[in-house]
Amino acid sequence: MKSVLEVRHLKKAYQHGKETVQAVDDVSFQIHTGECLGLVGESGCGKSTIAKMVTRLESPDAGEIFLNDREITRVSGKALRTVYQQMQMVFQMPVDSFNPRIKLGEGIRESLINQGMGRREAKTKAWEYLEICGLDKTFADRYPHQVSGGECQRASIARAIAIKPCLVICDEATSALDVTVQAQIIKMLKRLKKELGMSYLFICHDLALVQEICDRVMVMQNGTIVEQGIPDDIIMRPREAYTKKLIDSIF
Amino acid sequence: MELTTVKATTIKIRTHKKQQDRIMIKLFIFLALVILLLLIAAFAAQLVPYDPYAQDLTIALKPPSQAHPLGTDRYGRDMLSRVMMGGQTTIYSALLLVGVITTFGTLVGLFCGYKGGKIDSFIMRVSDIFLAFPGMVFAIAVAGVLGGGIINAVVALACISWPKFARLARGQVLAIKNMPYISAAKLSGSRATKIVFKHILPNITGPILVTATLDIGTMMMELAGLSFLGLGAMPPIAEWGSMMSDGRSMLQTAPWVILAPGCAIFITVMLFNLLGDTVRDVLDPKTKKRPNRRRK
Ligand SMILES: Nc1ncnc2c1ncn2[C@@H]1O[C@H](COP(=O)(O)OP(=O)(O)OP(=O)(O)O)[C@@H](O)[C@H]1O
Ligand SMILES: [Mg+2]
Repeated sequence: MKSVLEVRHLKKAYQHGKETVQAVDDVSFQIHTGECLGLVGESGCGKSTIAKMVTRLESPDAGEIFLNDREITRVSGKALRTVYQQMQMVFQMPVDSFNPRIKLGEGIRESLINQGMGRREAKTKAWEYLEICGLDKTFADRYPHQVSGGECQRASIARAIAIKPCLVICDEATSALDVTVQAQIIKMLKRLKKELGMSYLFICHDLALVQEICDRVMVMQNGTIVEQGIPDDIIMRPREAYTKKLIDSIF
Repeated sequence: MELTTVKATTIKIRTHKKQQDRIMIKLFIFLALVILLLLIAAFAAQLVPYDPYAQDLTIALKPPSQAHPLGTDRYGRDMLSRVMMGGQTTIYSALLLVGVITTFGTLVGLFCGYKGGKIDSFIMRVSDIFLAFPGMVFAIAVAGVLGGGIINAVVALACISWPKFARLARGQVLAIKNMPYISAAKLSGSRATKIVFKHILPNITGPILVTATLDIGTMMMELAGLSFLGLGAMPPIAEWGSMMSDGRSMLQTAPWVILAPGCAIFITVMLFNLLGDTVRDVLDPKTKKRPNRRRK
């Protein structure tokens, strides 16, 4: 199967005063076309750091990243901007991921316009995707502080999928949503996956949700991947003690 | 018990609102006064009762009277007309100066803060050098090299004053550069220039605007100071600093000659400082609550 994203031996350390924290330590994985790969693990184990490195918002200390078989570990400028036409991210903190002085609609339009779409077309497109995410047109004219956390999260999902990327990285994209809206978003993500062959890296705390949407799941601990496999297998027959603990603490 | 809490909160909210209303009223009053001042200065040529440059030695050094409310100077020129004309030079030079250093400093700060790396360190070291000089002395040296003239004085002061704004803007950029919305803008494929001017700049204009407004008064005094020393506006051009310099030998015999431009500077600088203070209160409500706020 063709892989959308391949990550090899990724490493990243952060400096906290004198001590170094190895946030990500030798992580390798692949995401195939149309696959949803889950990533679970306790808080602070390095999930968001992986997401940031894959999207090139942070540069890795070591390792390689391939998107559609092209190495993107060190691209910059124009090449990086074309990478962002294929890869999008839903941020962990949705409210902070919108500029407080720019209306949600304009934030969503920005990437469409950067791709050369006309203003009017981009406007209707933004409305369309807001509606897909369960928000009506009027939300396009609101500022981030004028909407709830969940609404902002949906707008942020709308922004990520509006340009139809082939890979979306969802960093706890549904954590602020209630069950009904979450179900609606999950349904939409599944539909996009089937219709457009979109792939996801789905960072999540909710193992039930992982079971629902992910084809494969990786369990992370202290910057390394300790276990991976089919969600049902992992949840029913965890091999690692750490995974067992994680599952026990949730169910 | 709960009721009292509710009441207390309501009262607090109400006083807060009242305070805000008062600040807005203050802002409008000071803004109106400053605009009035700017208009008088702008249309000084049309408004003056006498030609500010016409000499008439028969009425030299006359004290304030009905015909000449602020008296006349040693060449018999009407002081009121000269103060109004001088306002044009002083106020607009100061505004030009502040405009130039704010724009230039902010651009440098944006560039350095966003780019980072070696260029940033280099430019910041250069600005350190500028900041290490005693400002006025350096300005006197630059003005001395460039020669007299109000434009040269503006250039001299601009040379030493831009680093303040560069530092301010840079610090602000660094504070918001790592916000997720900047990452989001990068992910949407925006170029660096678009990110800087659309996403960063609008979020840092507040503090820059406040500093710029508060700086107008300071810059006006420094410009007047250079002119006083004979390094700014050249006679016969009316300028408050050089007018004061003209009159300084006559402080005892004809005090109005020095008092008129002196008071003009005092009132104008104070007005701009009060405006700056109020702008800060409006834009930056966090510092408002402190009971013993130091006025600049
Ligand atoms: N910019 C940074 N500077 C220093 N340390 C950082 C930085 N970002 C993350 N870290 C550290 O790296 C480790 C991994 O952080 P990361 O954000 O990847 O965790 P996470 O798995 O996403 O956690 P959560 O589930 O709470 O979001 C943490 O120990 C964190 O303190
Ligand atoms: Mg995280």
